[in-house]
Amino acid sequence: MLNKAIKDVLKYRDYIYYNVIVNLKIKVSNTILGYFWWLLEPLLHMAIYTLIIVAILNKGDRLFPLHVFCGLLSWKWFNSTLTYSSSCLKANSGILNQVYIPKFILPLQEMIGNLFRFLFGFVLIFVMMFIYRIAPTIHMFELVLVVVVNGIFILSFSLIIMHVGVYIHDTKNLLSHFNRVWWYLSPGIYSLTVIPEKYRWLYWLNPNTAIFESYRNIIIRGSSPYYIHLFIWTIVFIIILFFGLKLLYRHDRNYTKII
Amino acid sequence: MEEFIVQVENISLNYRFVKSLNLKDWFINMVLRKNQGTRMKVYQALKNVTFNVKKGSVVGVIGENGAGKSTLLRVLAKVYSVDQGSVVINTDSISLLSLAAGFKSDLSGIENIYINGLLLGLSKQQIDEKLNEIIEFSEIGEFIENPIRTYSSGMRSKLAFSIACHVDPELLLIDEVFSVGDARFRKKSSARIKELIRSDRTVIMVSHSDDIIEELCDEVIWLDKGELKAIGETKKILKEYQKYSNR
Repeated sequence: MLNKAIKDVLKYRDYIYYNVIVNLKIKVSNTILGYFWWLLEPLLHMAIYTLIIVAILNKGDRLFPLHVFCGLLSWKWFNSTLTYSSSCLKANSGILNQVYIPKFILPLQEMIGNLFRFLFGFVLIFVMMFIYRIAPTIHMFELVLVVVVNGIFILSFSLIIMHVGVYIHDTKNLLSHFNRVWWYLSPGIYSLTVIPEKYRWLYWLNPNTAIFESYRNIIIRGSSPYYIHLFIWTIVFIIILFFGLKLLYRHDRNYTKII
Repeated sequence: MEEFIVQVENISLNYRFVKSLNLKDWFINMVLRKNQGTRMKVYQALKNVTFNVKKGSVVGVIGENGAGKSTLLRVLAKVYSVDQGSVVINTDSISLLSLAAGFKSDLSGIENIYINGLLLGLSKQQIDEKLNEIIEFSEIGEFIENPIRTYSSGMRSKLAFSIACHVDPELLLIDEVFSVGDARFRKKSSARIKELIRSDRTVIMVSHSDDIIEELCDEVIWLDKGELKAIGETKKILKEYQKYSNR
């Protein structure tokens, strides 16, 4: 299955490559601020959280903005890819009714596109590290690993969501609410330490905990990511990915028959 | 023995319509303990269709609206899998020429040429080579740099046609693309289609124009409500079809 998928990726690599570039261009080309939005969007989002938590509720420490940012960037990557995946077959039905494409290409291409925006956001992380006088450590190189795990996480979930989205039209609406709840149940705008020790193990059942905290370990605390947790999650994600690919290949030429 | 490029045996195909979750109905059925009907409505678009197509022949597909003509072409283009029966197509180079092409409205004409071309099976290099030819044929001129959303519907279909007719497949499927654009472009496009047909490739085309079918096709397939009504020599079948239409 994975073999077939890799073969298909290679076969359609020109299409994926071109589509990623061009989609990134669309998203910014019609606005005055253009690429600047990629920085501005997470920045504004972070500013709102900082305003509420630090200024109004008087919680959170000096590093709060950077703390939020480590989770927020990853979350935005996840959220926008899944939202797209939930309705991508409908959005592309014109071309899908004319030529055959392995359907997993669509979420894959979106995941890669959003990866670029994610990486763009890292510029802000470096700026903030400079402002807070946090010296980058050798552990920075381990970021690559966390990003890869993060990518597999997003892809595996978006394949499943895409499949469900074909059969249940409410998926997109449900997803937006479900995702919001999920975000607040993840240690995004607060840290794990505010959770009573008794319940903390529950948080580790949420893949976001391992991912967010790994980013924070590397960026803020200058240490290694949570390797064991990431490793276990990677196995889970790969199983989901495998299952998703199998599902998609089985229904590959059926999706467009469903209206 | 003659070689068949397409062998279709006993195929049936269903479309499924997904009904949205209706809370009111769901609740009423729950209370009345009625059996929940399936949420899928099934519509059978093709029923037990069987035919073969010889290599190098030109076959027309006729029938009234909703007879399953476009569906049949999508099956042959391998976009749809059939629910029953078997389809054997002895080539990998197939392309479906239709005007429902999915353009991305925020992208420029050139970018859409690349995206559609790549999907239709051209390589990046081939598109680079053919780009000028495609733009020239489409007569879009300077607008090619503008986003598709600024195009008129005529320009869109001219562009779609120009991209599609520059793909060189072994098996060409044409879905009602003869009436594109203004009178002048129509003349040019039908000349181009005839050019595509006359070379030795296999063509299966859907058209509502009896004249075009009669002029171009060696053989005709007549579909009626998803079923194969008749298949055979063009003149004979067309006559029967006309009689049927005038009933």
